[in-house]
Amino acid sequence: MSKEVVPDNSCARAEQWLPDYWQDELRSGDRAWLEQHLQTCAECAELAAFWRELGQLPEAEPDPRQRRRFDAMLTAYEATPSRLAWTQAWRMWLRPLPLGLALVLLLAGLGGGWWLHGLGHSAQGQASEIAELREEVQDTRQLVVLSMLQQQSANDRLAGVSYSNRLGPLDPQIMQALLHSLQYDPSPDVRLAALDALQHAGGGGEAAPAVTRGLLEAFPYQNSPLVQVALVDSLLELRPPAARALLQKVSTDHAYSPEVRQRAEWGLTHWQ
Amino acid sequence: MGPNMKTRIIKVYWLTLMLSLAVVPVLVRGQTTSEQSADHNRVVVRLSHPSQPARIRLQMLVGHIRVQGYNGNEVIIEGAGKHTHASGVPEEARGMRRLTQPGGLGADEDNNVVTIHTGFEPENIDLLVPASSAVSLKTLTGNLHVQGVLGELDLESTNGAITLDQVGGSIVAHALNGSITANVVRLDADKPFSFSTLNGRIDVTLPAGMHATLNVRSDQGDVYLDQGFDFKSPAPSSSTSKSESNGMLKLRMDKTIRGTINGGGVEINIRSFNGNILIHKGK
Repeated sequence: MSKEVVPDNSCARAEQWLPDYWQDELRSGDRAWLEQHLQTCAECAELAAFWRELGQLPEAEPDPRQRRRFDAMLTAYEATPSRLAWTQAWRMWLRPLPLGLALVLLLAGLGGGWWLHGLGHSAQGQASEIAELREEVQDTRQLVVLSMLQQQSANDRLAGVSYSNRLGPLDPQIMQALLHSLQYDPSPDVRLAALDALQHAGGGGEAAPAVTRGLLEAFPYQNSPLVQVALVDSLLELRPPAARALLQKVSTDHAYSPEVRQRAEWGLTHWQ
Repeated sequence: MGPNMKTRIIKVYWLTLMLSLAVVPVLVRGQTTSEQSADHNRVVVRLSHPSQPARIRLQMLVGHIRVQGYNGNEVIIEGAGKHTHASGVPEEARGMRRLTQPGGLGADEDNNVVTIHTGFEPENIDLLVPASSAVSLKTLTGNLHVQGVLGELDLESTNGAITLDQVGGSIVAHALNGSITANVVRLDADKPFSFSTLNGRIDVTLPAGMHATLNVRSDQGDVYLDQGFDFKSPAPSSSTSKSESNGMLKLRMDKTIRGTINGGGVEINIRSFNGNILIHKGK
């Protein structure tokens, strides 16, 4: 039952509900009301009777002659030849024309664009593009190294240091990150690897003074004798003047383990 | 669709939603149970995601740690007795058996990261972990022994030896005053290996067919490599550069042995100060 507005006028309501009544779709309360109304209202009862009579009319059967007429017409139609006169046929050939024109225009547009594009690009333009791309790739690689150096697991950080070795000349940011690892990384192996990477980069080029300064600053913070020995070695190779005083202090200070002191002493004797 | 049907459907959906919301908090949190028997301290840790590898962390001051990899997905921690130098039973307690006192052994699990806490007393710990776990152990005084774990290993012992057997993945091992003995059966291609000691021998067995790039150095010891390896080393590199201060030529020799095995691959750094380094060829 659809939710239509139920008219207030009871006869109008009865008229509206009659169809549902004939199909047994009324709710029990509504049906009781309707039956009661039909008993009291003469007009509606007449209408209901009229409808009942209509319902009892026999169904109309189709005329058998109509079917035969239709069959005859169908056979006549199928027998006619489908060839058209050539005056009309040529129009059929023109039908796909708009689609074809559209395709041709599209291809022409593409071709024209390509040709113009080729004109605008000289070999020099391409070379500068490649250089830009290379720089972007290098930046991405550096980001990877920086993020790997901050990973939770020592294995990941070690992989980051090893990856930075393949970057070529050290970016100042990477160098700072490696110096930070050298000073503060909890794993001695990562610190050793960071020192190794810095040494490779710091041996020559403009990065050398910064690396040397970083190594000197990192020395007091080391508490692993193995890393201290490696640092003494690097300082002996780089030979910054400030290292001499530091090494003299190390060789006599008993806070450092004997291996470190020995190495510092040996280095000083060879420093002339 | 009549009105009764619609309300029924709404009720069923609502009930399902309430039930699933009630169940979710229980599933998300990892569970730890602590069972205590008369002789052992034992903690069983269930992982939040049993199908994914676990990450296990243990830091101690004093005590040996033994780790065994197995084919399960729970982490089982056992306290294996006090780490004392005194052995034997004192005179007054002869004929009696010593009960292990619960020493505050416990573990936290958060999203497959298991952090193990030990009590105040020095204690030896036995761990049974899934074979694919990543294990991170650190002890000041004590030996570390790991067997059958194929995940990442990060091991550090200041006074004690590190022994590894049937391990793979990626290994970072540092024994300051102790030797490192490792039998590696598998190498992870993307993460480097590193073994370092100050006073100790490093004895490593690596798989025969591996592709590796070696950086090996022993300051006062010797380096030995198994004959069976196809080892190629470029000539020892020396670089010259003009020193800025006095214009003299500075010669620099790289003291580390660098070379490739079977063409190069995984980076393996081995560094010792006072000990020999031996690299064996495994199967």
